[in-house]
Amino acid sequence: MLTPEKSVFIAILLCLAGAVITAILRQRKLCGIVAFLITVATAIFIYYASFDVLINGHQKAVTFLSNKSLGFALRVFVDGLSAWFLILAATIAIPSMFFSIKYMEHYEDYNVSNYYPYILMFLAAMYGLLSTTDMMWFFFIFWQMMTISGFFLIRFERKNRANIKASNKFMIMMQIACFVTMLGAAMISGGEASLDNEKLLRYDFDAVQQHIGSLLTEKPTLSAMAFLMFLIGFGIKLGMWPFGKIWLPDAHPAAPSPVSAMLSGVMIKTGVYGIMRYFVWLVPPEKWQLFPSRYWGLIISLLGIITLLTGTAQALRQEQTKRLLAFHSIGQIGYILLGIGAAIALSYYSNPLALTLGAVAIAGALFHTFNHGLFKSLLFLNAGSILYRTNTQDLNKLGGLISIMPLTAITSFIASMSISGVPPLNGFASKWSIYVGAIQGGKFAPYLIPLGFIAIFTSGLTLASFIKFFGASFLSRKSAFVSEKTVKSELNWSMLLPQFLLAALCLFFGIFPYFGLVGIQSALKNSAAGFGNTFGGVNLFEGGALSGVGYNEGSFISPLMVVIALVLFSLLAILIMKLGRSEKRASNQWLCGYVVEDDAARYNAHNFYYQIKQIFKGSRKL
Amino acid sequence: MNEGEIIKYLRNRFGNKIRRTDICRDRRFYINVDSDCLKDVCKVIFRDLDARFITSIGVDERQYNGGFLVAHNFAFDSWKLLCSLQTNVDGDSPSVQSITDIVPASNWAEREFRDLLGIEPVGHIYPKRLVLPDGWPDGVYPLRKDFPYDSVPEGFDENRSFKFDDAPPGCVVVPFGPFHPTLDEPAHFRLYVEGEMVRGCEYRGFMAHRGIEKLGESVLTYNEIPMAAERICGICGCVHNVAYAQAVENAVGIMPPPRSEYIRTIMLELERLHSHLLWVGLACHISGFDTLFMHCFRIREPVMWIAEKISGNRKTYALCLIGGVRWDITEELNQELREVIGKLETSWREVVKAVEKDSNLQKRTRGVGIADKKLVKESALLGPVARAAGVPIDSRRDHPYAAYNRVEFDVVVSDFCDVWGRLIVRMYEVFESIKIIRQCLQKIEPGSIQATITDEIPVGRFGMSSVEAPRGECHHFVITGENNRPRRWRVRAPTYQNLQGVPTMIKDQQLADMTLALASIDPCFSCTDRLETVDIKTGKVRVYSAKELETLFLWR
Amino acid sequence: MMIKILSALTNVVIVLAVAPLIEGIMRKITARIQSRQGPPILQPYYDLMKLLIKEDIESGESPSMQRFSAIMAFASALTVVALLPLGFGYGLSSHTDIILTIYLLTFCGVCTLIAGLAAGSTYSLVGISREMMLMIPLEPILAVALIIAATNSGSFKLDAVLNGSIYNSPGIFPISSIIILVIILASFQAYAQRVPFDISEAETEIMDGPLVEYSGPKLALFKYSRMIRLVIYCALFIGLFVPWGSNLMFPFGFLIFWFKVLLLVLLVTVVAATHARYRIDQAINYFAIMLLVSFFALALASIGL
Repeated sequence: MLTPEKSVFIAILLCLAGAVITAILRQRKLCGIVAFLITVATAIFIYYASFDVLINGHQKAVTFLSNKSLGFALRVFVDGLSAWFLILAATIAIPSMFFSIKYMEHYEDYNVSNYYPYILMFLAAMYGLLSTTDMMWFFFIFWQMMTISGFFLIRFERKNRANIKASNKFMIMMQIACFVTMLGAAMISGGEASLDNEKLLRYDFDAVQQHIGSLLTEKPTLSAMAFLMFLIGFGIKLGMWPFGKIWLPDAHPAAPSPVSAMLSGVMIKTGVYGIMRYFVWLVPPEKWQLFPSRYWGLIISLLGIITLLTGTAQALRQEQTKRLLAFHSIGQIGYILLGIGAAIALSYYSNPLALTLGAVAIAGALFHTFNHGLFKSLLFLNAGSILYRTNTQDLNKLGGLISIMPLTAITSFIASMSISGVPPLNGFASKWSIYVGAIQGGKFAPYLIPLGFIAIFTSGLTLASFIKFFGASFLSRKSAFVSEKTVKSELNWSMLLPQFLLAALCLFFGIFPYFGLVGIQSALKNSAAGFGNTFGGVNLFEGGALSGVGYNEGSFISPLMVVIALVLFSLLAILIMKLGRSEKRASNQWLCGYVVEDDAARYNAHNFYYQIKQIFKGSRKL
Repeated sequence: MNEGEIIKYLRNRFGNKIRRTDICRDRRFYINVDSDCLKDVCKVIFRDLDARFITSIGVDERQYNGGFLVAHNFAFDSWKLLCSLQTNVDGDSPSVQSITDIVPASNWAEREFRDLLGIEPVGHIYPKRLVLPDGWPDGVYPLRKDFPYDSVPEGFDENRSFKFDDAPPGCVVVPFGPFHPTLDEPAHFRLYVEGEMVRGCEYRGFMAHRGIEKLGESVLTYNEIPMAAERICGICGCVHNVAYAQAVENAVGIMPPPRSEYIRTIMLELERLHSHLLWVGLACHISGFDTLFMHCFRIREPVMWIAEKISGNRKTYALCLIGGVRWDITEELNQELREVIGKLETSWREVVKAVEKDSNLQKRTRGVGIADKKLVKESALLGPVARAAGVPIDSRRDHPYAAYNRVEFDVVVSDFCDVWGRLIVRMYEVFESIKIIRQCLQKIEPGSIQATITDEIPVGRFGMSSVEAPRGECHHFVITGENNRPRRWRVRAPTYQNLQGVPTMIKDQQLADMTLALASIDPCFSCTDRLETVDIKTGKVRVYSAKELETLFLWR
Repeated sequence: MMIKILSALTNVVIVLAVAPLIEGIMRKITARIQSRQGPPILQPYYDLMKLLIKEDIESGESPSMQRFSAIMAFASALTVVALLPLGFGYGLSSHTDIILTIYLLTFCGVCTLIAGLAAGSTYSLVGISREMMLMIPLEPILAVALIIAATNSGSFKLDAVLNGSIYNSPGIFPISSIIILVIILASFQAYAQRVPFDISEAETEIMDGPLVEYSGPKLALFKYSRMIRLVIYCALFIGLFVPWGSNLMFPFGFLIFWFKVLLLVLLVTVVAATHARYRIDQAINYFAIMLLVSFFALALASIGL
């Protein structure tokens, strides 16, 4: 019988084998296809494992390698939480790899043997990191695998000095994160333990869990220090303020676009996973009152809001496509942190309503993690498509691409609206839960209300930024640069297909958030025995997360109904438009009747939002 | 100093280079200098003697003396003097020292004679085409005497487009005009905008040329020109009409009878009234305050009716002939006029009170379109723009004409230097105008309204006249000529100078303020554009043939 | 449920019929303030009909996007109408929550932005840049009002929020509610997109901004949706701050509601007629202060004041 743990292990091995094969293969396209097929194969194992866990509940951890003298054990355990993140990793990996096949062709000067082996290794590392229970050795191994492969992927275009610098920064920050996290693990480990007749090594997650209660009572300062280490370590990874700005906006644009998609869609989510796992699932429910959840909730949600605000405010100033997206990755992580923080803060109150709202908040965070993966990787693929067609990341040079690549434009529109939280798209669905959790949670922790409000305010900034991104690249008028240098043709189907897949998922989870929340609920229910597990006991639908309507009030207007209304009224609008039988005529733009259109008269991205940018001028320093 | 002392001062400095001097009655004097010291003399006049630059004039005199004449007119406002500094230029390859580096205000005027007469201003700071249309071929100069008034030059290329300067880095070009809701007349501003901030602009105007100066020099007669001059502008037409008549009268020494001078004063002030009322309304409209706009127009309407009653027209009064006026103000009209301005005064007081209290309007106009004393001096800005910068110049007081030396009034000055200041100045000038009209109606003397002119008008005399239009000083320069028409007639409307200050006024201001700052000079493009032999209907370039042009002047 | 859907649809029909009339009344009042005769009160209907038969000029590089934005602007406004309590019953408001409403309203605005972007004219881009800058503070200010009411009522449901619960704070006196009432009143012109805050359309500067390139049926839809949005914001204001009487028995509640809309419209008209348009930087600074004050109000509300 193939247990989830075994199938994840097989997926990791497959990835590594694929890395070796692609390193040997010479042919560019073949390499891509092999890498893609291997990714699909691993994804099948991952899906099998994850859905098995979500549907049938988790099983026991499996130890594959063990060396007691070194405290060394590859103990793999797939619970609901891991499963949710594993699904995300596989879902993003498939389109990214498929996109790579064609996309990598335009790097003629570079050898793909520096690409596919690393990206497969990168994937293996993430699978591993999301499923291992070893907080020390295998954490270190997987983390280093991820860091080193990421390092080489970021410096893939090594002729550009900026990329080398970006990758060095990434390397240094990741090593610091690694060290800090391991330090935290060393501080918190309480000794060996046993679980279900299995001897656990001291750095195993379950072993730590068994000792955490006594540690929290006996050495509160030390344990707090350890948690702080985890927060810093994973915070660096996920781009939390003040660490995110140091490496993330440089690293994401430097890497080839499919890698940016993976970096932003999956890699930084391992940080989210880490924070959730260590802060919410490490302490068992019966010891939860020992954990200073009030303070950690406050700290995490505050950090979340600062991350959100600074990331988004800086994103507003950006004029390079991928750099803009990278700053938004920081910003969106803020939402997720706010959700986690609110959940931790609310868990302090032993009130069923607080628990419900906490569950809503953490479900929002988990959902947003997933949705952010979808639309952000889609946006990076869009940016990659633009780069592929026009060879530039500069929004000021772009414009009017919709007439060159209309299909890409559609996907990019969906993604832009998703990240801005426009209903009925998935970004809205998940932010909705976070807002509800935070603002209604204000009943217990009043500071959450203003925080939730800042989150709403920031979504306006996000919208502004993406109106600029989408408008300046696809809409607006064609620049001289675009009309001279760009062939008028849509992308190859093999580049479009992955984008459409992701866009369809964005729409699907926007219109039917139910399916996302079902998954999250069973993920929470089937998660390992930590405090987070108790959130699984809340009914997310009748409790009001999906409706956002409040406690114990079931009926709601679902996004589906909004879609139906929109469609109906659109039909009415079309009918009205047709009533007069007016004729259509194409014409030029009105430029006051004297000058003809020229490139100098294009209002480009640099000029957008002058006044707001003046106000947020200071954000550069944050 | 008086004119004699000035000439003495100049002679001391330049000796024999001052070739000839003429001192006329009416506090005007003419100096002819060697062309190689033109710049130095200008420097002394403009910097040391602190004169105000009026305009530059080029004259084609090749058929008389084989050369061109270039004149720079200056005003000594505090000494109440007008001066014309002239030099003769070689006829074959005409060139003259440019004075733009000393007198920046002469920028356009020099480019104009470069375009129209082919006199090259050597050392000009910005020698770019100004007046001629985009498609006009190089090397053809329409204001030379050998260029027929009714011809389209060979090589006119409709499709040639103007070469604009490059935008500064990081700026986007926002085209503004010629067809724009804020502009009532065509002109093109190429704004360089960063976000919402205007970082600079380039002006391309002179789109409504009707060749009036050329017509006056080649077709019309002395007494037909006032009617054409009036059609230079739709708002301050009477100003041009009076200014031209006075310039000719000044050249040949005709004294119009006192009653006609009072009537001229009354009509000029009526014109100022409706122009200022219109402007305050427009300023409100541009800042989005349509209610006050509507009320200004309501208050303004009786002024138009009374003007119609006096002259038969709401506008274009067809008032002056050389030596007098055509319409008399009867006792009945006198009474009615008193009533109209009485009502106007009360309702205007309410508007002024409302505007002065309106913090919202002040927010929009304070600190917008700054033109300080320095800019006024350098660009020779005029009228309310100068007076709002605390420079008390007013031709009615400084160079009195018509009946202005017989009435009492104040020159309204403010120190705000911005649009708000101009608003205040204009609003209070309305009261001064009312005061002047009242005094005129009271003091008006019975008698003839037209001087009898028996002799032929002598040839080759110079005449200058400055009339304070609602927008500032309007200057006409005339050289009398043969065939019952002037040899040269040059019009310098106030907007001609004020528009040159606009790029400085709108620099580093919000885009929204640009329209307001531009409007604050009350731009009159048709005044500025006035002379050209071709008209371009913008959008689609179309050249009026001379036949069509002639039919435009229906009185012929 | 069926009845609720039917009453929501009735609301939609009523708003469709009445919105241009409100515009007509506003124009007439404005004209009277400006001592003009003014157009007939039914003029907006004629205008819309006239626009429908006018030529549909497509000047952007993506006509389909232009059409899409016009249709969505109309459809999203009507969707919000279907969810709001509008005198004729509560519609579907008991099934809607405030976050969804706020974001649907944002979506209405986004449609105009997309329209301006798709047209791609310099003026329309200046316009959308301004409109977006105004949206950034405006939507959160409205959100604060709704959130205060929601925290007081303990529910995010729209019918629980739009029934005066904003005054039901646990404290002695609803300070935060009064503050937010003043703020919303002070920025209502911006929601109604009238002078002094119609900066994004400023006819005298950028010639109607985002819509400069639009004509014919598309312009009709944008104009129509703008009229509808005015009704929406009036309804939100009434529901939040002066809900009394709106839910009486059929003819009374209905009439009282529309009477209140009329009063609000009158206020908007008078303010619009007596002000000059602000500049974008002045408006942004103004709303930045409003936003800070409303944040303060929210902070007060979160501690129960």
